[in-house]
Amino acid sequence: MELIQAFSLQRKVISALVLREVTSRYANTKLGFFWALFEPFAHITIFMAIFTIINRPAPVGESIGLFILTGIVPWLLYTNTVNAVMSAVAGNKALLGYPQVMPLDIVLARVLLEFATLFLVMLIFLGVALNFGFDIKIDNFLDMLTVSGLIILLAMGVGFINTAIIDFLPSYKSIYNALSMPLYFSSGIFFTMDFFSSDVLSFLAYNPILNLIEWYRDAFYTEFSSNLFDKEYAVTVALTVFGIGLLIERLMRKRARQIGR
Amino acid sequence: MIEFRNVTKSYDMNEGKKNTILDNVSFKFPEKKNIGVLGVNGAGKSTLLRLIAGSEYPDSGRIIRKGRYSWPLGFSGSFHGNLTGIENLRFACRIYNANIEYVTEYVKEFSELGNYINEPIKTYSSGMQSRLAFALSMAIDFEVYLVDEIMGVGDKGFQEKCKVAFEDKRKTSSIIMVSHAMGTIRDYSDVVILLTGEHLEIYDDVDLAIKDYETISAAPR
Repeated sequence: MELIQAFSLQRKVISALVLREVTSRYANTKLGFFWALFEPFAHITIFMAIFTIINRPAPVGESIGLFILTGIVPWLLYTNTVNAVMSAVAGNKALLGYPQVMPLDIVLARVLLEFATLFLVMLIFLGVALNFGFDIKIDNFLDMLTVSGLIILLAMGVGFINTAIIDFLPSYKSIYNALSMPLYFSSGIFFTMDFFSSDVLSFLAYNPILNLIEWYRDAFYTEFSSNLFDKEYAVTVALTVFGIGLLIERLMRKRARQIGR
Repeated sequence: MIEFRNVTKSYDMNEGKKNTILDNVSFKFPEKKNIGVLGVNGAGKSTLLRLIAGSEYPDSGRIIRKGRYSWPLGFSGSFHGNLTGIENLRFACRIYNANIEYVTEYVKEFSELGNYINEPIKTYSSGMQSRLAFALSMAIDFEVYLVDEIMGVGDKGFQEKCKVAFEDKRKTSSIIMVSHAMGTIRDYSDVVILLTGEHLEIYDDVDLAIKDYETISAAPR
């Protein structure tokens, strides 16, 4: 009984927090949702230009734009979720004055919104592509959702771990930012795994995001199926990192609530 | 009903020092009485209130709480600076299950904020913030109001209004309040809790409590 009450309270708190995030990000500023659309659009346009200049076809399918879209959406889901987790509590510190608001609720609300936003963005881009006469058939929608879920878990884990490290070592923030650049270029946003020779790939394949994006495309395209990514590895890494992150969040919870921190 | 069982709470200070606020305290707060909390600066009055509310957790021990307690009504408040008064109000209504329309009407009338209610909280003066906090907490019914220093803010007229509102709620609600103003403590409290640093002492005699508090606060530290 108490558990049910606790769950219904948490649902109420999270939905209130989601509404609060929506109003401050999308309702009060007209730029909010525009930016959500513009960011992937910018990545896509730049890579389309590069591919055209060096005169290369899309690695999969006919459309370079669609190929980049299926790489940039999972990538943005990853980075935006990490950032959302890292800034969630700092951006809502005051609301922790309400006893029923937990730091984890704030994080969950933000992550939910992040997912909903990118889902909508993906739909809009696919709608536009359909309008331009591209033939879009999603091969395995359920697998795409699974991959999205794994990306979110991985990103939440990374976000929690980062938050804890930054608390003790503020300069880590710039180290993390510096690391995300090579990660961007090695995560398969603009290539598939068969682009590399097997010895380079044996090293790059440790990147779980590369595996997840390859899996995402495998699920999206009917004409593409890859045997180079490792599902088991991706699932294990995502769940492990998420588990460690949750544990750290629990240990840090008391600290997060203290005033003046 | 609120009870502390073996509660310890301390803060990390600079240079690794620790400021202990409560040291293994077991204490049952008197029910249905208005309680004033006194203590010198840094004794942890606000923290005590936040522990009672559940906004902060003890280092060890348990806090047992039954009934509807308000959030700590104070300057470090629960309002989000970038959201408007109305948006903050809606958020509170949602998490406390209150009727948004009723609360909005009540708060507009009670707080006298006028058009400011649609402005971000960060543009508010501290007096305006406390008016909003008061009005909002009065509109959402609580059994115990936790008031941190913001009583006695605002002009005389508003203070009177608060007093009347509390009088109306006297049958169903009580207050636990922190204040530096002895007049306010006298006006509102039935009993006083004195925070002596590490322990709680309860006084049924408000005047005696104030006298002891004045002795402590005048003593060199």
